[in-house]
Amino acid sequence: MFTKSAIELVKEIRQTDSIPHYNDTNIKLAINEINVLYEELLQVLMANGNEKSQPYYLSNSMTYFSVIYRDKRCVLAYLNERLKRIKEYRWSSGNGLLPDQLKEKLSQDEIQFFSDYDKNLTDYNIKVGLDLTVDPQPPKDLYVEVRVIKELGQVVLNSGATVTLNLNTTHFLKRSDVSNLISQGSLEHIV
Amino acid sequence: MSYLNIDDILAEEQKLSCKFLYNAYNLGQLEEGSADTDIEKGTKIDLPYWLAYVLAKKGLVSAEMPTPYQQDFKDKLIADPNVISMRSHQYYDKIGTMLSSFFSDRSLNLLLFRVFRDRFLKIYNQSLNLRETDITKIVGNMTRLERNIFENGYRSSIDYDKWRNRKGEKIERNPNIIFPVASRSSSVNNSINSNNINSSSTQSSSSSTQSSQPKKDTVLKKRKRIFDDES
Amino acid sequence: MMDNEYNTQLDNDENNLLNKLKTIWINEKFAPNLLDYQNEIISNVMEKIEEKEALCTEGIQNKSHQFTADIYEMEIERLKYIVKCYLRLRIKKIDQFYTSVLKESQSNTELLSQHELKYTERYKSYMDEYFKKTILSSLHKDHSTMSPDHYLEPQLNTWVFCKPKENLGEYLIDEDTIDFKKTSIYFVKYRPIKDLVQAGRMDLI
Repeated sequence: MFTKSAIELVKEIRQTDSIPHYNDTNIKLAINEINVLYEELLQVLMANGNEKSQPYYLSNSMTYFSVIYRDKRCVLAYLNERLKRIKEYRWSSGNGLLPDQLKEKLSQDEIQFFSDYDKNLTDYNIKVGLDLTVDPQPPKDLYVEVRVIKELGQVVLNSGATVTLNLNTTHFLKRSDVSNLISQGSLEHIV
Repeated sequence: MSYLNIDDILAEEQKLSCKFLYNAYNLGQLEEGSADTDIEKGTKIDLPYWLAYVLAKKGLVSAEMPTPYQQDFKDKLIADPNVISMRSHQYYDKIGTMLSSFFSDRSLNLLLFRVFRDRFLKIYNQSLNLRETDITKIVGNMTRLERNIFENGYRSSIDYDKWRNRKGEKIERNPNIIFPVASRSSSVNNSINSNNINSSSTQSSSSSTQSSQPKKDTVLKKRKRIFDDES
Repeated sequence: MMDNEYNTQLDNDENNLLNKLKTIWINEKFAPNLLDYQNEIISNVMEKIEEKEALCTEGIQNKSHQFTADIYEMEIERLKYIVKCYLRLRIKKIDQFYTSVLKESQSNTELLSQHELKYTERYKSYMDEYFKKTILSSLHKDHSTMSPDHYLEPQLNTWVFCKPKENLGEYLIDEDTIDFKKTSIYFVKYRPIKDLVQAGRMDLI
């Protein structure tokens, strides 16, 4: 049946909010269907110069056109939705590293795209002097109480202060100094 | 309608029963189980909306309104919009409005509006009051559009609770951050000098290995949500 | 540096600037399309942040000013937070609507900051290249492009809450005449009031 592999792609991506395995097989099948049908379509149009607008041929060519359009649209929508989720991942993780579990689900081109996207966003962040992906919460208190859940030892903070962060000790520190360490899981914010 | 929108594409998969008004060259494969190459005039085939639309506009097929939009189903729906499950009609409203203009059926549009309005009130209330309940079944009976509305309301009610209980101020660990060994030093990059790294790593190797091991597992579990296929 | 008269003057200017910053952030948040980049306000805020950071450094060196320095730092954090939110909203819109944004930026040089323009151009080239590599280059040349209407466009027909900054008089909105008064809040379609928002005569809320 026409468009079967293409529509499967779209259904597959709708079934989950995460990023499923890149379905190379179905993409190739859909692309192949487009090319085969278009070849046939051109032949039919050429061979039936005078009769090609008769219903007998018109039904055929209109269907082929629609199927080609549909296949292309499905594949592009699938690829685009994946890119969208890959970009979201970049924003939510706050850095340009891809974990292995995610990496193995992406195609080479997607990995390349992620790294291009990361570089572009990082460059922009550097130029404006602000990391737009970090700390989306409004600052309430300048200082926060934290417990060390991963041994860090002696650390010099951004503000220039030196502090020893031993496991299970608690500290009262500047929010801007520690928010990164909290979201990475080295410290825990005590409320 | 937007070209790259997943839901728009899926909505247009709705099947319509179509009658071919002419013989059609080499379209046999549209007909399931048929070995013929051509389609004969008068043959009835279920075609997806996106194809039925094109062929009907050219006068090549005549299309029928799909069953869920015919009187029987509409009667049931209007009798009590809130009890009907939309589990197998995920795009009832979306494709419904398209069918309404395709068949120039204004009454269908009005019906969709009434049904949506009635169901909306219930969904809106549910979204704000069901925080402690398992919502998978409730959500399963909604159309996609309704589900988006529900999820928005649900999320904001959770945010509201957090704000009221002053939980929003708590900085949370980000489950998405991958934590290779290198990133600890890169994160505090300009602030840890090399001497300190040495001292910290020797300290941690003795005291924290035991306690940090189980932590790693819970971290992995938390993260899994993002990568897991639900299928 | 800490004398009273100076401080009051400073407070007024700063409150003004802070309010302006909040307004452009909220407008950007509720507008479905990308609004013009508010270069003047953002660079003023960034200047203020730098000034305060300098004061903080002084404060750290001088123990007696530590408390004042902390308060300045708190203000810096707040300003930075709003600027970040504002810029983030814009980048997210650019990611979504990059083709129409780039097109509009050709006739409207105010739309994007210099850095945003660079970002958008590069972003577009990565997207184009990606679709080309994965599918378009494998298709017959009749199908190997994306037509302009295939890209996502902002939904200008959406509904918004808005508040005029001044009495604007009567406007024809979808066959209804609305007399926009400064004291009222309106719920209208965005498209017909888009230019009023852009011109800074109407705020979204």
